[in-house]
Amino acid sequence: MYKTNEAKFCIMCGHKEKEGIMIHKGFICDECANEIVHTEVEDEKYSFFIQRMKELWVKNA
Amino acid sequence: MLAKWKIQWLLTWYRILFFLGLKTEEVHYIGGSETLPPPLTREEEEVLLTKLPNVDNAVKSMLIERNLRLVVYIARKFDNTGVNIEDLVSIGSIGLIKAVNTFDTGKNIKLATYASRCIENEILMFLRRNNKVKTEVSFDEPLNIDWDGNELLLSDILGTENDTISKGLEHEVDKKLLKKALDKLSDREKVIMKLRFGLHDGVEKTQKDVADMLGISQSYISRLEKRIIKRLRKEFNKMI
Repeated sequence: MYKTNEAKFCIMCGHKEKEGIMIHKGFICDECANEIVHTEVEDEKYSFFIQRMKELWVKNA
Repeated sequence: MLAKWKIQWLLTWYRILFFLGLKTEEVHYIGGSETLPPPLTREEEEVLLTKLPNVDNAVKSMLIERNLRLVVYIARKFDNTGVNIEDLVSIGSIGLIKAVNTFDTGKNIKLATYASRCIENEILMFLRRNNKVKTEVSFDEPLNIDWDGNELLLSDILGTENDTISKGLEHEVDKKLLKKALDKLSDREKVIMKLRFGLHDGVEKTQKDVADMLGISQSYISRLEKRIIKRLRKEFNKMI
């Protein structure tokens, strides 16, 4: 499993994690990435992911 | 061979950036795909896909990032659906993440082809659900607001028929009365009624079916039925 040196804030859960994927300026931890894969459009959390996903495009940190 | 070395070098650079937690300073806007990283060439994609089964997050990140133009391209096709482009791109990105995580390298299919299907499918599923939700109305939907600011809700004007509560009770009483009235009939009359009106299994049989089962003519069943109903009505009236 690939690890980053420093823990980063996951744009989904807001927790500091080391393992995950980095897309543009956003970091998504493994746990959230896995949850995204298993979340369907009918699920309550789906709209939350849509909103948080926007951070990938505008985050400047 | 050159492409292989190039992507290998890029991946190493990516890993270094990952390790150090460094990011580029650009801000990417959905409207301008020119700021997005270029798509991978066939050779580059092949090299990365060989590493994908090892659950390498740097590889996953690169595959996702280099296919983001695809997300924007597909999202724009759904621009006229009333859903804003930022949401569409987010939904498409979810589809892309799902695609990279579920891609089977053993199958003879390009990642971009599979990812396109996943992205489009994700957006279509969302739009379908969205349309379904649009047709639903909440009981708390405000219909009007009076001068004092009081809301008139849909639940305020919804009512039920006067006999909603008593209807069920009456139905139960009718069933009991019918059972009592049926007890007054002969065995053959009971059988006819049970078969015709499905009193034992809920399946109503035709007069012809009942006639065939009992070995008598359909016209005789018809006459018997009329007579039985007349008798039942009499029994009913006596009980009420």
